[in-house]
Amino acid sequence: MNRPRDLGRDTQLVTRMVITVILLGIVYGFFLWFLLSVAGAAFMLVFAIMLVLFQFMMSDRLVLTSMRAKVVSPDEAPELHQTVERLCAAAGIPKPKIAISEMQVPNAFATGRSQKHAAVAVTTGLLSILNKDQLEGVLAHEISHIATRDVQVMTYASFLSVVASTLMSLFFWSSMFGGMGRSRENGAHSYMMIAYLVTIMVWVLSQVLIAALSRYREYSADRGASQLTGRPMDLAAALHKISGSLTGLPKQDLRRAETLNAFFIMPAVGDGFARLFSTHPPMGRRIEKLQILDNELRGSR
Amino acid sequence: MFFLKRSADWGKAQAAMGKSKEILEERLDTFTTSSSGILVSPSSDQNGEQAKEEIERALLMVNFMGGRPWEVKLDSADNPHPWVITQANDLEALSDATRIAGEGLANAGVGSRVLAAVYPFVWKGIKIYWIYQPRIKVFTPFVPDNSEEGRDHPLELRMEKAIRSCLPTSRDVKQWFPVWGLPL
Repeated sequence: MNRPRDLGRDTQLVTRMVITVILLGIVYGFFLWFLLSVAGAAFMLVFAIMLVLFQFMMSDRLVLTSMRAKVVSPDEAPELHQTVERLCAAAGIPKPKIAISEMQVPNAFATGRSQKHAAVAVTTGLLSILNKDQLEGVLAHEISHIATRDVQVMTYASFLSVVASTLMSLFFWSSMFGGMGRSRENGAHSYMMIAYLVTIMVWVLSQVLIAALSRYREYSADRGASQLTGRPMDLAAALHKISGSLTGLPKQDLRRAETLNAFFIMPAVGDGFARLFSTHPPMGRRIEKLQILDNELRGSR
Repeated sequence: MFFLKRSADWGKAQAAMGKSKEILEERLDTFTTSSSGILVSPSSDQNGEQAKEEIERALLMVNFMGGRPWEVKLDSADNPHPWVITQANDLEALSDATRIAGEGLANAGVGSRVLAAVYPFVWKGIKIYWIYQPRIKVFTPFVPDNSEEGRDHPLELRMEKAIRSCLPTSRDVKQWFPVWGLPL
């Protein structure tokens, strides 16, 4: 395979990621200080660390099992193996395990605690709708996630958010069963209520920041994939298909469609608040960015 | 995803096509094939011959204006959906011809049955099409590939992105209807 095309760094994207990580650090720093100053919370912290570590160490197996994905050998899926091998050689990382999930929903994902313990999985639904070039685009996106250690980055980023989530559950159940100091003096009750509110606030803020970071990592993986294949528009077409947009690309001739009520103008649907918590960027924005990358690559040829 | 409504009626849309000549030819290496087509739907109470006669009558008035750098004629192929073919050497004249032919059809009462104006171009040896759909008043891209009723969708996406600043286009792919068996 040729040397990957050099698209350079997207400084705007890198700056956004750095700012998000700094903000996350501030939220987490405050939360750690708060936890260590609350009696009994240190125990929760140790419990949460163990939970997260377990998830992290077992992530590839847990995710593959939950997605009903089976690791396949080169004999079982030769083309898939060849494509991944080529892309890994170009990205300079070891070849991950390759798995196929018997699911009709078109999807692909990368998992694993390190580059050496990584896995890339695709669903049978994805294999059935993408052509060879589009599949390569999607695989390059997943390989790019592994190359930039995104699973680790997101695990570290979400670490204290998991702690906050665990504490929230604890506070909730303790309030349900008469805890939170209700039976004790009012001061303790108020104290625990503040702790509960702080935990909720930290969790919400961290979720927003983690989602933003995840969206930036997606853009970054799209960029990495474009660099690996040199064909961003194949990934764009694949994204269209995966999102179901291409199912909307009419197959019916305009002459036949005239008899159907097919001439709707799609309403402008905004989902501003929900977008804050979305871990993936809007499909249209990703495709637009891929088109810009395509122009950059064409310009450099 | 946001789909902004950017539409233009028949006259303005054809004029916009004429004005995008510079971008299409100089910046995008996309060249007109010197022809375009207007696709007309037959009326439910007409057979193919009657539909053709009706359109020919409308075109008589269009062609009556002599001394123009273009030609408008009815496609002779036996087709349930008649095609009006316009020919001119450059895109501006071609879009003028298409505009006037469409207005002629509208004056003859056929306007509501005009399904599309189709502009074929050549890009790096590939035939690509811009289809203006009067019902939604936008242009949509169409690139048939070599497979049976297959399309080069990545190229269509690129086309739309490249031209949206000067042509009224739809970003909603659900509206990107193909037109197979084009006589252009």
